[in-house]
Amino acid sequence: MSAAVVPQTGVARMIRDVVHAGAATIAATAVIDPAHPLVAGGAAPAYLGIEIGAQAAAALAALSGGTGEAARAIGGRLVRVRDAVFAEPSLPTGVALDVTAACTGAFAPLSTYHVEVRHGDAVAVTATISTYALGPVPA
Amino acid sequence: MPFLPPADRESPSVAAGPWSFTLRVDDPCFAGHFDDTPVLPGIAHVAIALEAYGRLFPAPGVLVAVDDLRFLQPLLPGDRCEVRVTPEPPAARVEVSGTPAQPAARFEIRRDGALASSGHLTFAAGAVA
Repeated sequence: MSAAVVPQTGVARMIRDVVHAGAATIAATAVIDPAHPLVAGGAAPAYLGIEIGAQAAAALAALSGGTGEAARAIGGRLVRVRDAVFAEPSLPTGVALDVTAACTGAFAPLSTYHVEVRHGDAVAVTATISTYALGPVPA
Repeated sequence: MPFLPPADRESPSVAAGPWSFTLRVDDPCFAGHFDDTPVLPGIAHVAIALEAYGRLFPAPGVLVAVDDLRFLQPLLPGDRCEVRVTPEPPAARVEVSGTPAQPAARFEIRRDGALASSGHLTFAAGAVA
């Protein structure tokens, strides 16, 4: 499934493929481009996982409308992050990371998600994020 | 790439912060975020706070947690901002089972005087004197 359901472009877009999307959960793969501006010395700071989770949440918001491949990216803003925990100081670049987002509450345009980023079998980042949806991004 | 201007170690007031800075219009963090309406990514606010914390503690250690992070208004290309970092007093930290208390700090970023974001940073224990 296309990752064009997130509004970020270029190196800012880290979601690569949506593996599964349900009504309230999404699983995707993400890759941090080594050229991302917050990457230093070949390593990405672990807090970049918050952005990966936010992009997964944005993809879920776009796909949960039920239009599948025709879904359009929904613009939005990250408004709150709670309980973000980083198991390692950095995330690898150029390799696939697994990300999940589960919607734990919503009252449009506000939504809250639990997000998790994994590298292999290890949980690298967990957080609870809240977003404010602005609406579909113009084609 | 740093957000803050070069440190002025000769001025105690600057060394203790807050630090003023202007977001460069061509800052690479705006690229692709988003194409029509560039907005500084939320994680870049954390990067700015860490850069400021590093001015206070040159060996700040590893960031292990972020909490109570709030974004009240977006930061846009060319915005004039100020970041303030307030280390949490050791007495306010929770010590569990003999584990050394973890260094922590709160930060605030303001745009033209108005609060744009705030949050709480926690670092691995033992990294900051």
